[in-house]
Amino acid sequence: MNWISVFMNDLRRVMKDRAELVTLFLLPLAFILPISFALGGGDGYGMTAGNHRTELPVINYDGTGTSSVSLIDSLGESLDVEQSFSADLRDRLGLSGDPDCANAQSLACSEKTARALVRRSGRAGMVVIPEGFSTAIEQGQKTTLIFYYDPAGDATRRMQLEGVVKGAAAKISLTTQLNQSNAQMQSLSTFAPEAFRQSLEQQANAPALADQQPAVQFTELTPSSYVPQSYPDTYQQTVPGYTVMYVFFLIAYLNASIREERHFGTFRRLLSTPISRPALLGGKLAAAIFIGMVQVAIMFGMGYLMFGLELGHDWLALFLLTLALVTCATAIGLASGASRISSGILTAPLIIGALLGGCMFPVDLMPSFLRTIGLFMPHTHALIGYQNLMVRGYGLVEVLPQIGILLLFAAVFFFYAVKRFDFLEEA
Amino acid sequence: MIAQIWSVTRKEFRILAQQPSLFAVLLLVPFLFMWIMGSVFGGGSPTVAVFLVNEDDGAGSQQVVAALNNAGTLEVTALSSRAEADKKVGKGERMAAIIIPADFSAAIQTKEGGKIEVMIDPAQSEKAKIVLGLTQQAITRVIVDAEVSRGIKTAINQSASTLSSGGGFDPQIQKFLETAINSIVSVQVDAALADPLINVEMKSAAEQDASNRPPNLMEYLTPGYSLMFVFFLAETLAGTLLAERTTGTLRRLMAAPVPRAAILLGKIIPYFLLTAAQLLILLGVAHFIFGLSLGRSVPAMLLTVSACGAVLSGFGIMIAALVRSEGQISGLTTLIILLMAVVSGAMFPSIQIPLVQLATPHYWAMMAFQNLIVRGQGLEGVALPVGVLLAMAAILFGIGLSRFKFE
Repeated sequence: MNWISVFMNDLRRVMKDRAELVTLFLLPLAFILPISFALGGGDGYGMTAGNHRTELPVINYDGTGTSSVSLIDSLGESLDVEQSFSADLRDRLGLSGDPDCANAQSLACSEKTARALVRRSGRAGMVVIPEGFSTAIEQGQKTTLIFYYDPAGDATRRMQLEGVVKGAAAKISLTTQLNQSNAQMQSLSTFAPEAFRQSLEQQANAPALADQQPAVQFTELTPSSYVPQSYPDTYQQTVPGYTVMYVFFLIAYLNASIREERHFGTFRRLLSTPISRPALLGGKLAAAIFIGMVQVAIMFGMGYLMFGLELGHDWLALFLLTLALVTCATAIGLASGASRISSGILTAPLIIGALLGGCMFPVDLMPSFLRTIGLFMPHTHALIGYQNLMVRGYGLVEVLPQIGILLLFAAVFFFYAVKRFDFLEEA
Repeated sequence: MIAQIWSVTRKEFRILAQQPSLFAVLLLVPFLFMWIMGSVFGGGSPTVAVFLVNEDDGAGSQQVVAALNNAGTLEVTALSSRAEADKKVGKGERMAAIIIPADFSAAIQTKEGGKIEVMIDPAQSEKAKIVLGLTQQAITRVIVDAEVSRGIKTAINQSASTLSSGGGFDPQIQKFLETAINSIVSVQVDAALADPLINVEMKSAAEQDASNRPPNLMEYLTPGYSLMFVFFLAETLAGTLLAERTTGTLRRLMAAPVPRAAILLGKIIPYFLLTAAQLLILLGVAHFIFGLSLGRSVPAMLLTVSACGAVLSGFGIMIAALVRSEGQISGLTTLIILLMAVVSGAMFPSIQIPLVQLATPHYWAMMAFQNLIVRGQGLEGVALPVGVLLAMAAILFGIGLSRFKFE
């Protein structure tokens, strides 16, 4: 039971150092509070529980023109088109006293509101349909839609809107151009009977059947295994990735404590007592794991109680997955302590790990060789585990593989640390 | 004074040179980081990996599959069944799957139309919806073709029944007519695609934004993460100072006729240079290998990078002055560095805290980098942020100098 005394000793030391204790408790807050304040409000930014379609403000100066109506319909197939805004939102954006908003229903006011929203990263982009848009198209003249984007915004969100808008614009543009040219019909007249040609032309120029749907439509599905309490909002989708990244930063603590002990020669003194090396390192590992668990608990507790973060329904699985993750991170810290890498330097490769593991943006955006490398990062598996529990609403069985992989990583690094650790060397 | 500062600096460089691992990490890690960012965002927009299930064997679905495979924006992996896609997307193996249902090719000829289904992982739906947009863009041509060919088919059917009083055409003739008209129309579609009536103009929502070019994530994350990386150097700086204090070498230096400010300055100069060098290497790699624009003003860039080095050095001295143990350095510095990165918005554009961010050097440094890289401004664009950064550096160094205990 030697490792328990090492464990207790380490904890006692932390408890005595008030500055360190405060730091350890503040660290999780430093992480969860900014993200919660930025994304947790549930309004304005991104997807909310009630609405999981991406919003696209469309300011239509063209009125009831055929082309603008069909453009808006087409955009509405995959986006939530917003054409008016609540007075409450206008007030919050500080536009209630704006001269353009003297008439709150005016398009100028809507455009101002939408642009203010986009500028504040409330929406990734918006579309302005100019006056005379439909007339220009009917007359075969060129016209321009304006897509305003958020200059400081998340490019992946913009790309989604851009794809839909450009696709819809191209569709209208092409169908109109084809209908107008009639060239195909004229070329046909060289070898078609007059009556047939006329009939065809008539058909081509006739308005589409009222109940005719677009030839190709898009629908969105959800995997059948998904058992959510509510549709995950942006906050819910962001927290798992940053949690994983954060937990790996914790190891800086362990690393520094090892350096300090080596420096003061306490290791050497401990080794003169009948304690085995694995027990000594195991005790230190256990203390660091305990502290790490408390920190993650603070983080999740804060998110859960104050910002309505959903933690899934299987808390045992969440506990075990977190334990495996913290153990893995701590073992890496121990191994880096063994190879005398300073914690500041260690942070950099961990950021790479987080990047490859999909903590910042989905791995699907990476080329396949990077996705393969990502499989060798503990971050990847931890992230899938958290997503399974906190967002997909799965239980313990579904995260057992992830827990196993994380513990395997932990075992490898711990073994390396025990092998390589030089207790006697002074820093 | 300068000679004294230099001798401290030289000694510090010698100590640093004994840590080859530090340099390896300083150079290698940023390179890896840039390499990853470059291969994802370097081309402007990332290629998104997605599953594809084609349950239909008609010509229409073949066209969709071909268009998706040819789209540079999608990396398509074909799966054999809907059930497989359901299982894999459900496990988060990919964030989305495109499914072409069994009756698709027939359905697009009917007035109800056909449906392409996009299965989206709810856990990543915000990013996954990009697939919806990219698919629509990729198959625009197919959509138009389907619309046109449905129109022609309907028109011929109608004409046939009118002209031959309900009898319709010989199926072979009808087929010939459809193919003939379709191929003529196809030429029209190509012409129209090359010169569309509706042009979508991309504009920044900000009132004053000279660039008018949508930002890509690489332009944002490169300076953001570079800043975060280099700030961890402050930890090394504070650690060295602390170690010298505990081992008593600082006390011995004090016995020599060297002013305290000179000792501290001499200590921080290597870190100032290292910071600037690391930032330049990071941005340089991003520029020369991955084509990231660095703006048009070299002096403005050098000024910004130097200001970052100054702030970092001041920050390191302040940390060394305020803490007592190495454990604290690591914990406290990591805390402050992460907090600054998250609050300022340097980590991700959508995560930032207004007003509080003004207190972080990252915010101002990001403003300078964005003005240079994204907005293409020159010295005028960095004057304010660099001024703020230098003021911050002076304040931090002042606090450090007044609070630092040499013994």
